[in-house]
Amino acid sequence: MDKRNPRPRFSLKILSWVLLKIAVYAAFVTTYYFFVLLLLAHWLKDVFVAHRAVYTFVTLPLIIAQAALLDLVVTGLRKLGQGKKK
Amino acid sequence: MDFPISGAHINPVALAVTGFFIGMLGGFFGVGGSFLAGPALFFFGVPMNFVVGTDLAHIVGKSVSAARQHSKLGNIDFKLGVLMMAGTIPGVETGAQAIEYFKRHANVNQVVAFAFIGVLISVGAFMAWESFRTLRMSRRERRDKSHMIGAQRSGNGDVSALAGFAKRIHVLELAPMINLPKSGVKRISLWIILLVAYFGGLFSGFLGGGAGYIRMPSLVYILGVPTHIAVGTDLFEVIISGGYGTLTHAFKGNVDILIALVMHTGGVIGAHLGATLTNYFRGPRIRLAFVPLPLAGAALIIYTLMFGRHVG
Repeated sequence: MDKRNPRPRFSLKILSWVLLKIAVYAAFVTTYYFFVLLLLAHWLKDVFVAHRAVYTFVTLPLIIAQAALLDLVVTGLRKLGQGKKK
Repeated sequence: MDFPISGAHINPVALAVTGFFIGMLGGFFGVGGSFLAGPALFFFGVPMNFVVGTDLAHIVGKSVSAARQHSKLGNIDFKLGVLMMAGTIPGVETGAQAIEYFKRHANVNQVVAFAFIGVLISVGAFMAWESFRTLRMSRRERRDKSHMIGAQRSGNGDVSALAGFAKRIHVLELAPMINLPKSGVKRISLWIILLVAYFGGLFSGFLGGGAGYIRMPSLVYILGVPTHIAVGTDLFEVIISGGYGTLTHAFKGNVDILIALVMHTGGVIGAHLGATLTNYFRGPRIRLAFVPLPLAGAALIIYTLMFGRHVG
């Protein structure tokens, strides 16, 4: 192991911070389910059945947009964590 | 919750938790996780054609942010990535057409499940063999530093049991020959690159996910690309194969985007946690720890085939 750059130790403090982050994230995701997914489900089903071409071109932007949004949220949570450590 | 597109009935919390664990393992081991995501979706009662298409959509979401990180670190060989697109896209389409064929003429669930089992067992066995050999080589190298085995270390310093194989591929004269300065490959046949890309795409289109289990070793051992560039370039290719695969499978009616969205929500935080954990648990034996994962995926499919799909 490199003595100049030792491996950080996994502590209870880190674990509790990770769990807190997961809890905040879970609350966000639950809200997201109810407000977005449940509203989208029937529209997507209709489009899937009746307009397959539209469904095809909706799928990719949807997952990419969600990835970008959630990445922002997680990055925000991480920055918050770093701020707390400082 | 009913997922009306595929007709599957899955608890969204179970789906998000599965996504979380797959994301965490993926972040920890640096892989996409389709070797577990596919079997898990099949276990939850999703038909195999939807497993393939939905996993492709799920993997696009996961790869976008990871590829962005690797792009910032300069780990993507864009020249190689763009050249590979010419092989990846026809490969994905061949895989998607094969799914359509089996949907019409055979039992798509069983055909894809057996193909999945074969691939996962092969990947697990290969990784075990390669990791053991590399570990043994590293130990021998440490014991006798003056007796450096040149053929077992690639030009970019990666220690690998199969580094010599790429050198033999590089001397194949099959025009047009390509230079890949970013990857440190002076001359390689374009056809070899296209062949590697085609097979990566084929696995991706037929079994879903990014097929990193086949493309990553191919980039390192066949093309001779350094591991860190291979990881970034593979992610770039996963976006191409996943993006095209999502479109073509969605058009063919094989994508349940709602399942992909729910699973991805758990995957994002899992991936970040997994990447954080590597700071605390890294070590040379980490690749050996990866070996049971594809085998666990194979076991899950075998269980589902034997005892029926879990619904609820």
